[in-house]
Amino acid sequence: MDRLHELVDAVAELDEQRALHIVERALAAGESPLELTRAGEHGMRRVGERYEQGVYFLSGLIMAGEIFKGIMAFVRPGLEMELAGDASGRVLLGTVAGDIHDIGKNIVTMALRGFGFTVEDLGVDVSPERFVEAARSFHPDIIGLSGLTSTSYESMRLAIEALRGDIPIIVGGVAVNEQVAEFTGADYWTNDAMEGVRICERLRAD
Amino acid sequence: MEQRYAERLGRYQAAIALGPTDRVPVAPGSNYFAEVYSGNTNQETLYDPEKWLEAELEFIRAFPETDVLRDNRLWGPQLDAIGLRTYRLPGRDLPPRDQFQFVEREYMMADEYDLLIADPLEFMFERWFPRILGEYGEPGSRRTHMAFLKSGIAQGTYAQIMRSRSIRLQEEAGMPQPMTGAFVAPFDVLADTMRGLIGVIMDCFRQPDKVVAACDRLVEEMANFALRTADPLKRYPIFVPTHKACFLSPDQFDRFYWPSFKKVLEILIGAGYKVRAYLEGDWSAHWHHMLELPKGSVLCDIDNQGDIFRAKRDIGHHQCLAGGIQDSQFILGAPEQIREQVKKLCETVAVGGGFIISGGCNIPYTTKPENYRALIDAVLEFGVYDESVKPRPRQTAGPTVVDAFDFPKMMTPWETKKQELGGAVPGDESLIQRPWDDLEAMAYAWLWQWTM
Repeated sequence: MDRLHELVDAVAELDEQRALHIVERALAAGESPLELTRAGEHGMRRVGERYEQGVYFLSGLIMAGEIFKGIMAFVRPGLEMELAGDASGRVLLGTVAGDIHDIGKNIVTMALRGFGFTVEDLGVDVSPERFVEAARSFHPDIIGLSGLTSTSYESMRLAIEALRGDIPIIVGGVAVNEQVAEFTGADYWTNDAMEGVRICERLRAD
Repeated sequence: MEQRYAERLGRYQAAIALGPTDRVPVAPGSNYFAEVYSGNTNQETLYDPEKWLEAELEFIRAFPETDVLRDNRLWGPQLDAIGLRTYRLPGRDLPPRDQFQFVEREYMMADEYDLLIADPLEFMFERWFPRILGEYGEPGSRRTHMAFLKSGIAQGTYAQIMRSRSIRLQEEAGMPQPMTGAFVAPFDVLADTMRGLIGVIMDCFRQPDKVVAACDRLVEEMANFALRTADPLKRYPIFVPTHKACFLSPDQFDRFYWPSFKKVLEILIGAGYKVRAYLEGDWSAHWHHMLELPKGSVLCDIDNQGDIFRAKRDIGHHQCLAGGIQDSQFILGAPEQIREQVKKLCETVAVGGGFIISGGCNIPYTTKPENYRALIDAVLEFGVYDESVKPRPRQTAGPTVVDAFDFPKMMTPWETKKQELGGAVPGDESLIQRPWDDLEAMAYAWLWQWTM
């Protein structure tokens, strides 16, 4: 089996040692960094699918994210991110004001990158003003607001009010549901990491 | 008031034991709404015990059908004295009406498992305290000595505050506690305040045997802390939030989370206690394990993400369930929505007993008062089993028997000190031994408080 297929498998199997070993050897043998990145992304997609099938759980997504980070560390991230980023798949993400939870958001960031999106992650406790400013400079196709606490509902609403425009906005987090989405004025909502990725994929295809 | 207290406690205990009672108890564990109902800020709740008690009493006057109300578990001054880095507090680091925040970092490094397992106290004093206790920055300095002294005094002060508040709630308002005493699962010790979630998940893949061994080593520490902080009369369950179980696959849960957690639960149940466990996040792949424990021994709070109807089918015949109302319904919904949901719960989950109405492990801060009122009205309308039953508290007091280890744990027990004094004392040894060991046990518990 060729190295690229092996890498896809290693990532899909969450075999960190094997994946990084393959990347190291492949680079030394002159393999294209871009091809290795694509193989890593392919592996990430397989992980996402297994999560949706109930084979992997959140811990699996977290581990996959760490492996992907490890691969990118080898594969010269600057150049590769530029080449790997799809011009029509730009996602701006952040956890809303007053909320410092980031695990879910980080999982989504990693998964989106694995699915070929270019992601700008603003971090946590992001004010409406910062979201607006970042939207102006980053030109996202999609904006994602993350929040875990029930006090984040109001922060989401305020951020969406400030951002209101043509860019579709997704609210995400385990405490989010239809009622919350309606209250905040969001276009889409999700309480599952992979579902968020699928919504972005559909929006990108449109 | 005595009557009121007996009814409320009896109703609560009966539900936990899956026994018959008059109605579904209104017994949330964390009633955040009650903390701020009177207008108090979150800061006042954490810093001003008297104001907090007044807030509780006002809440009870407004909603007397509530069956339990919590003594809080964080006192700002105690955390300030030691410079605890793992919490950001309202009023001190955050706006006064914000909820406190937990600061998760890698406070333990990946190569420190062997030390933790071999000698936890060495690990704590040499590696962990310097990272999490801001006032421990210069071990051996005057400032550090004073900080430890202050925090120890604060521990004693706070224990007294909690005790007298619990008694006042009982005597002035006839109100029992939902829980007294606490611990976290050994895996959560690693995942919360030591390795952090990302760190421990990496460890599960990279060094799984160490994770298992560390969890095993922490069993007696968590059981000890729980028993030291529990209600001496055993009226109220011991509390355990479960933080990181919801991130794990069933295999990982079975291997890393459950075995050590189960051992702690068994020690506490064996010592005569019930446990109130917040099954946080979605526990549907894991909660079947609750069938392994004695019937009616663990009250399981089902979170927003859990399906309480499925929990009823899976484990509701064996353990009491609490929950049923989504946070968003309390905050954004209308009274009619609450009424419909309570009706549905009473017609299904409440059937056969063993059900307590609550939110997803909490009643949110920004609950609309009319929604909480609607909850109570709906329970009185749909959740009555048998009005003729007069709930009475159970006989719970008795000796605390612990076979798994020497309880309570100490660093320097009297026997060691006695040898340092020459092996014998001329007077009544017990007069010296008892307070020495009491203080040692209290100080030992203080060390483990920071894992919560």
